[in-house]
This record gives sequence, C-alpha cells and structure tokens, in this order.
Amino acid sequence: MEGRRAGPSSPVVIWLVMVEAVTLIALTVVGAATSSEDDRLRHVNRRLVHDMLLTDLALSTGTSYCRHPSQADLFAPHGDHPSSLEHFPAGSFVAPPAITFLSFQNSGSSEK
Amino acid sequence: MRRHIRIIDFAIANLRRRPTKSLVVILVYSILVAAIASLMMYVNAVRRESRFLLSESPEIIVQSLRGGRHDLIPIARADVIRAIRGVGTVTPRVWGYYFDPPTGATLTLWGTDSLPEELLAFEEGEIPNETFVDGCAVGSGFADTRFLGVGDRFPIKGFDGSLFAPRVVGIFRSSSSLLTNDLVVLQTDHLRRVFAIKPGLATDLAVEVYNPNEVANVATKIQEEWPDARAITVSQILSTYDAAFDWRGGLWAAFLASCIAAFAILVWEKGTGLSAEEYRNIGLLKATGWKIREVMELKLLEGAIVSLISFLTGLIIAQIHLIWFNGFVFARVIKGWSVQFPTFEIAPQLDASTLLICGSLSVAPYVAANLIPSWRASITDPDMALRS
Repeated sequence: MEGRRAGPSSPVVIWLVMVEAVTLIALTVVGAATSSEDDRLRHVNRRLVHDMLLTDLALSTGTSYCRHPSQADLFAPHGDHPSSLEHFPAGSFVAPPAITFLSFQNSGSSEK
Repeated sequence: MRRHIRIIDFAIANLRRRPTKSLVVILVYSILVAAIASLMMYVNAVRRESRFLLSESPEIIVQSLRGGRHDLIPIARADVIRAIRGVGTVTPRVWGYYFDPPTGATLTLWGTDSLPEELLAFEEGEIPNETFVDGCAVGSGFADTRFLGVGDRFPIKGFDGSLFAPRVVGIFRSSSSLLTNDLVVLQTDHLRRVFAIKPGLATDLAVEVYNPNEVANVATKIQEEWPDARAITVSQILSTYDAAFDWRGGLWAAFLASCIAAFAILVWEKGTGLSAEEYRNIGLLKATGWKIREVMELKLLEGAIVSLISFLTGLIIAQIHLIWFNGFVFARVIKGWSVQFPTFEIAPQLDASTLLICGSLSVAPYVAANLIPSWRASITDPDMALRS
C-alpha cells in the first residue's frame, strides 16, 4: 500500500495496449486488402446475377421457400396444408414475410 | 497531471497484485467482446454481400397465382408488359426444383439459351456455347456432393418417368457458389421437356424497368392488369434478405444477451463481494488522506485498464476469426441449415457502429458494475473499513 512513484507497471501496460492497437489496425488493413482482392470475383458474381436473372442466394436447399425466400408464396411455410406445422430445419432461421404477421394481426383486430 | 499518472500506476499495481483474478476477468471479457464483434461484423458482411449481388436482380418478377399457389404464366403477357411506359426487356424465366434422391438435396434446375461470358471461366473444361446445347453446367457444391466431373452424365427423371442424362460440360467456380451452389443449368428446351412446360408458358417473367423510381408504379400497373399476378420488386427481394439475416443474427444476439447478463452478474458479484483486503485498502487510502473522488478515480482506472486490454484483445480475436477462419462459429446459423452449404469468403469491416455497440454492450456494464460497489465502500468511515 506504500505510495509509489511511476514504477515499472505503467510502461508494460502502455506497451501492451500500443501493440494491441497496432495489431488491430494491421488486421483491419489486412481484412480490407483481402476484400479488395475478392472484388473482381464479386463483380463477376454480380454480372452473373444480372445476366442469368437470378433473384436468390443458394443458402438452403431444404425446400423452395428456403432456397428462394423472395419468390415464395406468402403462406409458404404452411403451403402443404393451411395449418400444418413447418418442419424444415432451415425454417427455424428463415423468417416468413413480414406481411404474413401483419395480415394475421389485422384479421385478429377486425374480429374483435 | 503527475497525480493522475501516479494513480494510473497505483491502479496497475493493484491489478498486478491479483494476477490470476485479473487475467481470468480479461480472458472472459475478451471472449465476450470477440463474440459480439464477430457476430456483428459477420452479419453485416453477409448482408452487405447479399445487397451487393442481388441489387442486380431483375427490377420486377411477375408470377401468376392460381388457388393461392404459384402457377405457370403465359408468355403472351410479356407483350402487354413491354407496352407499359418505362419498361425495357421482359424475359420469360423457365426454372424449377428437382429432388435428387442420392444426395437428398433439392436442386434448382435453371433454363437458359446461352451461358453468359462470365460463366465460361469454368474450373474444368472448355465450355463454348455449342457444347452447352446438349449438356449442363452444375454448381461446385452439387458436383462435390454427387462426385460429378466434366464429361460425366447427370441423370434427371422427367415428369413422365423418362430419364434425361445431359453431360456435365462445366462446373461453376467455387467463388460463385453463393449463387450457383445447387444450380443445374440446362437449355430451356430441355428443361421444358423435363418439367413438361408448354412453349407458351414460363415459370415467371423478369421485367426490366429503366427508372428505379418507376418500379413500384409499373408493379402496380401489372397487378391491376391481371388480378392473379404477383409482382415482386427488387427492393422486396433485398428486404427479404435483410430480414432473414437480421432474424438469424437476432437469434445469436439473444443467446449472447444471456452471456452479457452472466458477465455483468459476475462483475457485480466481484464488486459487491469486495475482499476484506480490498475493503481495508480503501479504508487505508482514505485514512492517509485520499478523497472519495480519488478513490473513485483509482477504481475507474482499474476498470478502464481491464476494459481497454480486453476490448482490444476481443477485437483482434474477432478479426482473426473472420479473416482466417471465415467466421466458422456463426456461419452455420447465419447461412441456415442445408444439405449443401455454399462456401464463400466474407469481407469483414470494422466500423464505428460496431465499435460503439460492442463498447456499450461490454465496457459500460463492466465499468458500472465495478464502480458502484467501490463507491459504496469509499463512502464508509475509514475507521470501520480498517476494522472490517
């Protein structure tokens, strides 16, 4: 507990923080450089979307509304039967279109 | 100034006096910051990528609905749509799904009359459009799953049970697998034969609109013309993906919220359960003339030093996780479940909003949870603190 003059602790911590800050800046620059290297491929992919008239990313192949969420019917998760439970694992992560919730809420409020 | 430097030195000495405890807090704290920063940067990168790519999608896709289900659309409607002011080309798209029993994957069969030049840069084989006439091009993910190479035949069962086995003339580069992973591209006529789609019909129509501000008007006119039509605009496509990635990121964020809460409780417990030694130290400092403000400055600096080191360490771990390991911890959930996962490089960007949100979610709770109990201890009478 004795009062101490600026001892050996401060420089060590200051050095540590400086090394970390420099490392972080270097990593941010590396990240940006990596993405600019990929830029050419990204533009080719963009051209692919334009030329082949694609609308969706090939993320999930389980079912149509997970493969092409933007093209799916509004009731897609219940497409096989109006009240059937959605059963594809990807369905846990692909949200149905917001309009489905809105129309449900509207119908609920109109019934009241 | 010298006084502040001495307080900083004293704070560092205090932390070094309890090395294990300080290191454990820094470790847990760093992992928490790394998790939050990785998640934010990963979701932002995927969202940015999807917006970048899909902004090139057709301005409007026109579908026909029958009985509430997606039905084939008459190609004759293209002429009527083309007559609407501001509309450029209207292209019928022929595509559909095909379940491949050996892999258990649902493939997207895509019809086209020629492959664009960009697609000709295939990994294997030369693909002039002439050889494409009787063949097919497949995505790299599907080719790997099915062990297909250039020259192999891919048997497809048609609507009437007959087999159609086009030769694989090219495999898309893996750099495009985010778009082509499960695609099988065939000549439109062949695809019509497989799916039994008559020449006058198409799956949907892709509409080009010259002025982006006119897209909504054109979509409204199309829907007024045919009550059974459904027009999907490019902005709807983009917002669908924004919603999907926000939803998935939200799931992880909900999980991380409980980790943040657990961390805050840990720090609070550490603070409120000040050890007898720490309690006596505060009493001793006050007895030797330290003011409450100075004791608080000491504790604030202790928290700030731990926070700064942990915050930087966490961000470094997050960057390494994203740049070299492609965010493998979050990737599965953000991409979604699939028989065939596309592999794609993400481009993480550490921006001001990520720093601010990470800081407010980790630094603020830590400093607050550290400071409040110390303030309560520092306002205690020094005599009582020393006797405790």
